[in-house]
Parts: sequence; structure tokens; C-alpha cells
Amino acid sequence: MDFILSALDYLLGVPGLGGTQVGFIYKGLLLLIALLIFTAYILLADRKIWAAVQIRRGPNVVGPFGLLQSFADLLKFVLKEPVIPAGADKLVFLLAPFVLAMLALAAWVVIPIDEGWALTDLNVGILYLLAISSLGVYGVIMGGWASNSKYPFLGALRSAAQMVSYEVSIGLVIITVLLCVGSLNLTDIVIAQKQMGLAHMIGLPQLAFLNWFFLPLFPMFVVFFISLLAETNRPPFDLPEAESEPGCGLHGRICLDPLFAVHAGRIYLDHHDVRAHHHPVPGRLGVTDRPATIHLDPGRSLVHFEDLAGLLHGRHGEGLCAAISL
Amino acid sequence: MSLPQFFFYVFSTIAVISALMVISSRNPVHSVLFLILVFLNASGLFLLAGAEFLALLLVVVYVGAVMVLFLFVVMMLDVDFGSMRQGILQYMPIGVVIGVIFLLELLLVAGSFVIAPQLGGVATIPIDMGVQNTRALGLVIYTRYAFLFEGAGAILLVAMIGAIVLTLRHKVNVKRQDPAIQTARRPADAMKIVKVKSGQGL
Repeated sequence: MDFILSALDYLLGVPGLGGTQVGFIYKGLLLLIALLIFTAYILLADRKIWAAVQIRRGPNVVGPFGLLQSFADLLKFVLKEPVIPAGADKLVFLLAPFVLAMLALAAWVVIPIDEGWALTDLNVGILYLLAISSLGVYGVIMGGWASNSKYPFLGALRSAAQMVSYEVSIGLVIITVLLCVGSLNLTDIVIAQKQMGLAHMIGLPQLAFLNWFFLPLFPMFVVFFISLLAETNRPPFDLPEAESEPGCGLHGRICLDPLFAVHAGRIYLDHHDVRAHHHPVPGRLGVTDRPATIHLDPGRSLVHFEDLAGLLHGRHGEGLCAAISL
Repeated sequence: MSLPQFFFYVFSTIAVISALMVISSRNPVHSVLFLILVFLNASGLFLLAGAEFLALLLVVVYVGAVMVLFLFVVMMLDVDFGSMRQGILQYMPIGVVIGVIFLLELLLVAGSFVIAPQLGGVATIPIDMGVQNTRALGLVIYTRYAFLFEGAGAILLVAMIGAIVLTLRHKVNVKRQDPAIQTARRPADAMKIVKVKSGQGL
């Protein structure tokens, strides 16, 4: 019985009410909510910026400047009727988006938000991130295969091949950072950047971006950035959804079902419905959190990276797609 | 029962059940997915044993890379179960004999396995308990076993090159693009300017 009590304290503990620590669940919920709101606005920023690039207005109806668009989309997905193709392998079909969204969020467990503020301060944090992101492929393949149609399947194969191959180069780049730091712990890496960074050396600690490892390892950073674009299927590496095809790659058949509609992760998968084509953002965040902690400062850089990736992202088909629905 | 014990039973139960599902499910893709579940639970067991580096490496290498290839191949193949079932009676006796022998051997090994008493608690390489997993492995692999480690790497490289050589073939009738030739082409090689008088053909 003792272990159940200690486990409960770990999960639900409240220091004032007899617990010895702040429960894991509260910290997790806080991070999750912050993350989802953040994601909603990253999506909006993506759509807005791309609209501006293509001289459109983008979402501007729901709320002031369209600020509530992502939440309207969420509501729509929650209330929509589910469609499961007749020939689909139901269990795998329903499992695939779950796997994808869950893994994307699971990666955030080890991200240090501030000193001593990582949900779990694993001493093999980097390895954990690599493991989680390499599992992301399964969501893609399962979704493609379970649809029982050749177009989503081909899209999934392309996407999976791309994800698997760029994992390798990302891993090698990360190893250079590990060699500089001498630890696999993400908190250690962030602290090491602070201590051996350029800004610290020239005595201007407020220029924190000079501390980040992208400067001493600049060639590696370039490789990393290219692999990042490829891994997230951003142009010029957007093979999984060919321009000339009417279907949207592996997402061609995945529509909504009530079971997962509640899960906000669904938004990201539902390209077909959002039309303005966002990439599955959890997957993208899963990747972007790596530069966030390794090459750049945690937290701050995420926006920065999303924007950079977003700016390089433009295709005729998408513009057209988006224009039709807006 | 302590928390680690509880999780040990959770992981091992799921691992055993999904291992059974690997061989009993009818759809090969489901088999592969269950195999992935087995690997994940095995990595959970590694984690409980305190080998966090091995646990995550198992996920990265086996689940993240090897099983993806498995899944690729199994999904691409259109397996015809009817023809697979045809020879099953013919091969049954051999299969049963091999299975029984294997089971007996396993039982013998499991029944008679003892660690020599003088070796109990003595590691071949004394490891500082305060050192982290990853660091300890690195210290051993890159010093004492450096040559073996490099040798293993070289063998893998040779295997990779061998696989490429075996599968690479140039067909005769395939038209290939040669960018060098294309960029070296000049207008003078490619076209002829002709003056045509009006009212006349060439």
C-alpha cells in the first residue's frame, strides 16, 4: 500500500494538504495548456504569414484579426461527424493520429523550461528526444496503411522514408553538441551554453543569442537547419505531398471521429479540412524543440524557428486550396 | 510490492502477451506492430534495471529504424495466405520436432543455469557506481575495447557496401540523365540557323 501512497503524492500531491511535492499532473497540465494555446497561435501565424506572402488576407473573420480562428477550427472538429473508410483497418486507423499527437506531446516532458523546471530531468534527455521523434514515423505509416487506399499509402511511404533518413543527420549534428557539452542532460546543455558561450566570454550576458551553440558550430547548424526543414516536410523538401496530386498525401483519408476529436492533436492532422494546409504541428514542435534547447535558448527560439520555417513554405497548390476555402 | 516491482509486472505481462500476439495474429502488419510493442516493453524493463542508455538505444535503433524497415517490407508485400497455408501439413512434423527439441534445450538451460559462486558480485571491469550509464559505457568501449568496437564498425561498413554492390545494377535500356553533358551543350551544337527564301521550302 505504501507505494500507492507515494505514487499518489507524486502524481497529485499538494504541499499544503499533506503532500510533500507539487503533483506531476498539475505541472503537466500547465505545460499542456500553454503548449496548446501556443500551438493554436503558431497555426494562425502560419496561415496569416502565408496568406500575406500570397497576397491574401488569411483567416480574418473569427474574432479580431481572426485571432480565434484556431479555436473555431477545434470546435468544428469536435462537432464533426466521423468518417471511417469502409475498407480501413479500424483499430490502426484510429490509433495512428493518437500515436502521432501523443508522441509529439511526450517529447516535451524533458524540455527544460527554466532551471529546475523540466517535468522530468532525465540524464539521457537528448536520447529520449531522439527516441520519441523516431517513433513518430509509426503514426505516419500506420495512418497511411490503415486507410486501405494506395494514395495515402504512397504518401505515407514517402513521408516515412524522408523522416527516417533525416533522423540520421540530425542525430549526427546533435552528437557534435554533446561532444562540446559532455552530457546528455538538456539542463546541462543549456547551462553549458551559458558558461562557454561567446556573450559570456566578452562580458555581455544580455546578448544571450551569442551564447548558443549555433555560433561555434555554425556549419553543423546549417546542416541541422536543412535536415529540420526536410524532417518537417517544409519546402523545398515537401515530397510527401506532391503538388500535382489532388489528395493531401497520407492525410487523404483521415477525417474526424468523435473519439479523438476531443484531442486537440486532431487539428494538426486534419489538413484536408483546414485546407489552408498546415503541417502536423505537434510533429513540427517535436522537432523544433531540439534547436530550441540545443542551438538556441529554450522557449524563446520556438517562435523564431517556426517563422523561419514558415517563410520558406509556399506553393501554388496550397495558395489555391486556401483561397477556395477562405 | 513496491512501485518498481509493480511496473516490472506490468511491462513483462504486456511483453509476453504481445509476443504471443506476434505469432498468433493473422495480419502480418499487426504482427509487426505487436513486435514493436514487445520492444517498447523490453526497453521499459531495461529502464527498471537501471540501464537507461540501453533502454533508449533499443527504442532508437530497433523500434525507430529496424522495425520501420520491417513494416515497410510487410506492408508492400501482398501476402497471399491461401498459398502459404498449402504446405502446412507437409511441414508440420518437422516443425513439431524442431520445436520440441528447442523447448527441451531451453528447459535444460533454464533448469541447470547457475552463476559460479566465486564470481558473484564481481564485474570483469570495476565500474564506479557514481558514474552515469552513458559515461560508464563510453569509458569502457573507447578504452579497453576500442579495437573491437572499431572492428565492429568496420564490419558494418563492409556489410553496407556489400549490400549496395549486390543490389546495384545498371540496366541496358534505361535512359539516364547526364547533367554534365546537358550543361556543356552550346547553341552551336544543338541548332542550325537556316535562311529560307519566301515562297520556297527547304
